Amino acid sequence: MVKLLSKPKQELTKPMSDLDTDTPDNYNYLPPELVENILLRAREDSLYACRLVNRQWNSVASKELERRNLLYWKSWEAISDYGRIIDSPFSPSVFCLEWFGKSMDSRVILPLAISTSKEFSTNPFPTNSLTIYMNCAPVFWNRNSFPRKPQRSMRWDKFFCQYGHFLTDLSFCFYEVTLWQALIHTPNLQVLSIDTCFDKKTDKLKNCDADRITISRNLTTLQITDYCQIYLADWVLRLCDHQLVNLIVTTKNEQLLLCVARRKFEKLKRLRIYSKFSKVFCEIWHGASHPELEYLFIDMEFHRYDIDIHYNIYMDFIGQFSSTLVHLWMNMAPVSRGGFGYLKGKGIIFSKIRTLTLRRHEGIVSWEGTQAKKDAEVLFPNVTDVNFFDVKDAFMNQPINSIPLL
Amino acid sequence: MALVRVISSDGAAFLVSQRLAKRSGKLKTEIETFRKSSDNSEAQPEIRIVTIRAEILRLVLQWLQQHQNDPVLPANQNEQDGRGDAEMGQSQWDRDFLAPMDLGIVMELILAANHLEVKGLLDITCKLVESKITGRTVDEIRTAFKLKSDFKGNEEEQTRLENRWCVEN
Repeated sequence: MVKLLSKPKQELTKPMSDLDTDTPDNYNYLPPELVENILLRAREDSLYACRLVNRQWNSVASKELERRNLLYWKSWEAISDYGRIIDSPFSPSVFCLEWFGKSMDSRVILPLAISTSKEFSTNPFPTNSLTIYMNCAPVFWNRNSFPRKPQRSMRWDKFFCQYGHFLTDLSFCFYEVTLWQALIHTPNLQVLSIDTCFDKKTDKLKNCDADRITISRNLTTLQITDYCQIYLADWVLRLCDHQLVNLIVTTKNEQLLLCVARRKFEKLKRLRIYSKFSKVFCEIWHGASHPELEYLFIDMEFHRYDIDIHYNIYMDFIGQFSSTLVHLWMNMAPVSRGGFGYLKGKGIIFSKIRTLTLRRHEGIVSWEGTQAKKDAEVLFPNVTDVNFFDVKDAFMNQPINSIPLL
Repeated sequence: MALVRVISSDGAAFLVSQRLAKRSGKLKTEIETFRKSSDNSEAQPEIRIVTIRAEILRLVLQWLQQHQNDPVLPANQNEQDGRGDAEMGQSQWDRDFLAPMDLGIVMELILAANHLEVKGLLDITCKLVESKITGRTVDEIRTAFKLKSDFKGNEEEQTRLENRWCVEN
C-alpha cells in the first residue's frame, strides 16, 4: 500500500521535463549514471553514433563498446588470421587466446586502444591467458586507425605494462620479445611458454641473481620449445629453476637440453622431454637435483637410432629417479634390446611407480609370459596400470594436452 | 502491517508497507539499518530520499505496487550482455504507465530507479530512452536530448575516423 501522508512542503523543484521546452544550453551535461544506464542497453551501432554526441557521451559509449568487445572476446571463434580461442593445454578450465599478430580485428584492437588511457578496475581478460604469435615487429595497426594519436600506437611493452598483472598464462611464438620486460610486468604469471623466440642480448640476461627473487614468483610451469635462443632459454631457466613444478622441453637442439641438465630443480614434479637422444644429457643430468620428481615423460626417439652402445646410459638415466617416480612414460619397447634386465641386474627398484606407459614392440602382440614382464614385475612392484602405445602415436602425434599433467 | 515512511526531497511523506518498500534494494538496506540501530522493534522507520522529488517518488512507488508480486530480479542478472529483461517483462500496464511521460520525467525516473535499486523499472525506462537513440543520427540524438557538441579541435573528426575504421573492418 502507498499512501501520501503530506503534501510537499516546498515548491516543487523545477522539473526536468522543462528539458523539452527550455533553452538547450542548460542541458549539455546529464548525470553520468543516467548516460551509463541508457547506453548500457543501447545497440552497438547506436553506440558509435553516441560517441559523436559530445565528450561525455563519447567517453561513456567508448567504455561500453570496450566492455562489450572484451565480452565478445570470450566467445571469439573466428578461426581466421586473427586468432582463436583454444583450451589452455595447461589448465583445462582456462581458455587461452591464440593471437596471430599479422592482422588485427578492430574488435580486438578497439578495447585495447581505448583503454590505453584508462585503468581497468577489473580483469579485462575473460581468459587470463594470452598466446601471442608474432612473426614481425610488434606494430599492429596502421597510422590512421586507433589509437587517437598515432604516436601513441601501442606496442607490446606498453601492453604488458598495462595488462601484464592480469595474465596467468603466456605463450610466445615467433616473437621478438623483450622477455625481461614482459616478465617484470607479469607478477601473477604461472605458465610461460616460449617457442621460437629471440631477444637482444643484454646485460640483463647475463646476470639474473637479483631478478631471481623478484620476477615471476608464481611461475611454476615452463615450456621451452624448439629454436628458442639458447641464452634466452638459459636465462629463463636460471631465473626460475628453483620454483618450477612443471617443465616441458621440446627440442632438437642439444645445447638447449644441456642448459636444462645443468640446472637444479628442487621443486620439479613433472618433467616431459621430447628430443633426440643425447648421450651428454643423460650423463650430466643428476637425479639428486630433482628430489621431488614424480612424473617423467621421456621421448628421446630412442628407437630410431642404433644406439645399443648407449643403452646403459639411457637406463642409468631413468634409474636415477627410482626413489621418487610415480608415473613413467617412455618411448621404449620393453622387449627390445636388454629390456629392463640391465636395471634389474643393478638391483634398482622403482617402489613408488603406479603407472607405466611403454611403447608396443612391433610384431609382439602380448607381453604376457615374456622375460620383460617378469623383469618389470620385479622392477615396478607396486605398479597398478601398464599402458602401451604404438609408434605412430608417439612423439609429435601425441597431442600435448591429451596427456594429463597430474 | 509494518509500515515505513518514505520522505521525498521536497518533504512529501509516503506511508508504504515494508514488504513493498523492500522490493527496492536501497530502501531494504535503509530499513535494515534502521532496525539495527533502533531499540524499539515496533518503531516505524523513516527514510529520507534527498535526491528524489515527490512526483517521481510517487511514480516509483506506484510502479512497485503494480509489480509487487513479480519475482525480484537480481541486480546483476543478464550482466553478460548488459541488457536488462525489459523486453520480456514489459507489460501493457508498463506501456500505459510510461506513455504519458515526457523524456525529462523518464530520465528522472531512471535516476530514481537507479538510486533506489529497482531493476525492473530501470530496465523499462532505459529501454524507452534507448529507443530514442536507436537508428538516429548524431544530430537527431543531440536534438532529442538537447545536447550540444563540446568537442575541441579535430576530436570529432578523429572520432568519426575511428568509427568508420571500426565499423568497416
